[in-house]
Amino acid sequence: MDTLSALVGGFAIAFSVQNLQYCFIGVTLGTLIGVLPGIGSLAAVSMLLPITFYLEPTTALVMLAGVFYGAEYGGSIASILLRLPGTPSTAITCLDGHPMAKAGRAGVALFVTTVASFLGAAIGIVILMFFSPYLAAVARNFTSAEYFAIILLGLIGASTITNGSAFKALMMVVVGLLLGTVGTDLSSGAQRFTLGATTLYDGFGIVVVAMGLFGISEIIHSIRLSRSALTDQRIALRTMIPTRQDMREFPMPALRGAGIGAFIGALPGAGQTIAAFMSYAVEKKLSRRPEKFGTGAIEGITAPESSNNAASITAFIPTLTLGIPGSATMALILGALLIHGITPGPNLISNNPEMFWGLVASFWIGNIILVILNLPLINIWVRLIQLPYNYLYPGIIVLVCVGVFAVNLNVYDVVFVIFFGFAGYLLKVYGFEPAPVLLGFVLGPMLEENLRRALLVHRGDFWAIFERPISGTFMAMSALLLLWMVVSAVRSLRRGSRRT
Amino acid sequence: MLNRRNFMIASVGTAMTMAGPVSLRAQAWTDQPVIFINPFSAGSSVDVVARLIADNMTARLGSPFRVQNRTGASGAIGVEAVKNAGADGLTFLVGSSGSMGINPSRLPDLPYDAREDFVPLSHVVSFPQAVCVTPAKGITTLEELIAMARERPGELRFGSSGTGSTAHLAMELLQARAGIEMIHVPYRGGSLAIQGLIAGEIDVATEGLPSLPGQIDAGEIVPIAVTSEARSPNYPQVRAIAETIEGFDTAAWILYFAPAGTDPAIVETLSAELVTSVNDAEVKARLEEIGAVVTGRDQAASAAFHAAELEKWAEAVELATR
Repeated sequence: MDTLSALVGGFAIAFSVQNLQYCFIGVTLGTLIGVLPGIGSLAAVSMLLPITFYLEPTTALVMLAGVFYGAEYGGSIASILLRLPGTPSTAITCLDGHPMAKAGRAGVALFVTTVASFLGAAIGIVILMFFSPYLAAVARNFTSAEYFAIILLGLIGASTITNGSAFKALMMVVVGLLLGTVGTDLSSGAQRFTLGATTLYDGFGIVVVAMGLFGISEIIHSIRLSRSALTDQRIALRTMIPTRQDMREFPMPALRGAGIGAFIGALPGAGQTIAAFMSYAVEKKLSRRPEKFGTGAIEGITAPESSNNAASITAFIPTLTLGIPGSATMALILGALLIHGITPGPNLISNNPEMFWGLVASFWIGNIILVILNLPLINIWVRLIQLPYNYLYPGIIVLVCVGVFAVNLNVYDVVFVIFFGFAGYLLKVYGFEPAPVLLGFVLGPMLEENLRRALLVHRGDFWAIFERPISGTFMAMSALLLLWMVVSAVRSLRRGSRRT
Repeated sequence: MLNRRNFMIASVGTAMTMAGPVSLRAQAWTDQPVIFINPFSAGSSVDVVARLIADNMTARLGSPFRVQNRTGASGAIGVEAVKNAGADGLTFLVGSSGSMGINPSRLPDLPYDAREDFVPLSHVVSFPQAVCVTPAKGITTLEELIAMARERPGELRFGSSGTGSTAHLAMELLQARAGIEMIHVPYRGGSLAIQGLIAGEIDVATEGLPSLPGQIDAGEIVPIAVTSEARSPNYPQVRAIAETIEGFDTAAWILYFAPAGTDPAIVETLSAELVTSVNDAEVKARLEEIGAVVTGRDQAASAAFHAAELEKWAEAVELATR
């Protein structure tokens, strides 16, 4: 096998003392910034980038990649124990992870998310190894029409991520969509809702919105509550053993999550957050007891965690094989290659095989290190966030502010994160959930941008989106999903009226 | 060069032992870290240039020169930060065609005036942009593209890295000069425009040369012309638009600026040091490797260049918003 012998060569490179060292540094740092709410991989990678100037390109790539996928592991720890997402893509893990922790099952939740993360990453790496050229070929043929169709499907599908009133959730999606329109309109260059403030020209950052709505708001919320004993839970290895039922409910959601994540990750511009949201929505749709979601359903943490890890690996496919970075962080990693005079493109794998396969091998090594960091050594991370509330929460607020500031070195981002924190708190008080806001915020601008571009390209012919095979299929799926939602809503209404 | 270094070391030494207005200035300029603020994110080609120069100056002059990325608001945040830093002789701007050439005519509420608030130091490099098509188009020259666009007015689609980007406005100028009409399709970033080109969504895409070699070498896209006045040394076979349309030059550029009111002595010294740095053999080779054309203009030439650029882009913005 060609691929396997290339991989063996890759391991030879990845096992060099220097690469091993930087892989370890990368994933450990990734876990750390993942655990600490506020500082995300974007900030960490941009701060590390100048250092990579002085490293071998492969070593630099191995380290930066380690930070990138390591953060996905760490992020779930804070989500489960504190209901504060370590990274935006683990925000959805709060919904079921935290209730599990409250029910005394924090150990199980941490165990399950780590295993799911590893599984997702492993499937992502296998896909990266064997199917890169094919996935790249699919992704390269995606035009705005396809992106629009797939994002629409995602938005409709994920609009059910709520436990409360569907109407309220829909309102929150709309709020998110509106927030997403702030800034310079891509098509016309006009300023929308910037109120003349230059700092809003580029709109709100996703880290700002996610950390404000989920992180800061949770802290404000908890000030009112009496001190729970939650963070004092000891996470002994013993408490991590899942029940037999947990084991039964684990494999399928994890596999589905990995599949969805691997696909979404390979599309430039989608990313881990969307992957996690979509897998959660799929599980909730497929579940025989969707009412359990939000109260500690194990599928609600396995699917998104395996999904965001798979996506964090396959995100390298468009970056390395097409030279097209899918996210801001990927663009930075690509920049690290550019500094070394390597231009990613379709010939990268054939021109720099030692780099590509060294990186792939480092993915295996890094993910195994991450499992070790997250299972036997979990208490190191848990203890980080087990300080007494009166130290921990101010500390986290400082970290969030520093992390948000570090991305752009822009003071207003700190102001905005606090603003979104209070807004999120008010929403919570009135029974609105922040998850649909984030969803609308992430997907809205992409939806609009691709729709307008598709219409521009097809000369205003909306039906062209239905005529293209791939986008047509996704549009049909969206229509079916909508129909099914209406039918099941009507059915449950009838059932409800019969009961009363 | 040796003399200059000795002078620097000597002046630091003097400043450390003596107090007085003359040595204070020397101290302020050599002892503390000098910050070049880049309003765009780390890892971009502008950033690579800024870091290469800062590293070279640090090594040559023996005092720290650093690059700080202060991003946001199409670069306005970083530019404003330099303006607000005042003439302290420590904070300078890595200006580019977007933030200091185009945006002044495009954005109404900019918190800075590109002419009044800054003094040009040196136009260090230009980045030629390449007008690209896919091999399936079957054309290899700009003339053929112009002919095709004349045959089908308003039908060909060109992609750019966004409305008001250098790539977009360069094409607006090209259309006006060549008397053709195409549809503008904006993308969120140049690499996504290239993907749109490869996917067949658009007919033409313009993007900075530094990020293109991967796709060009693989034969995925064909560069038919570069937007700089001269051909790019990396692709000598690709003709410049100027060879078809006389005087055409819409290369992106990097020009360093000092806040207005900076001590003229510092302006003069720094300008000369920037020119020395980009002409350093090793730096120059690295710059050319990433697709930059080293210009290294002195202060007067840079000021004239900047004034002309502001006018050119004002015209392009008017064409685009007409």
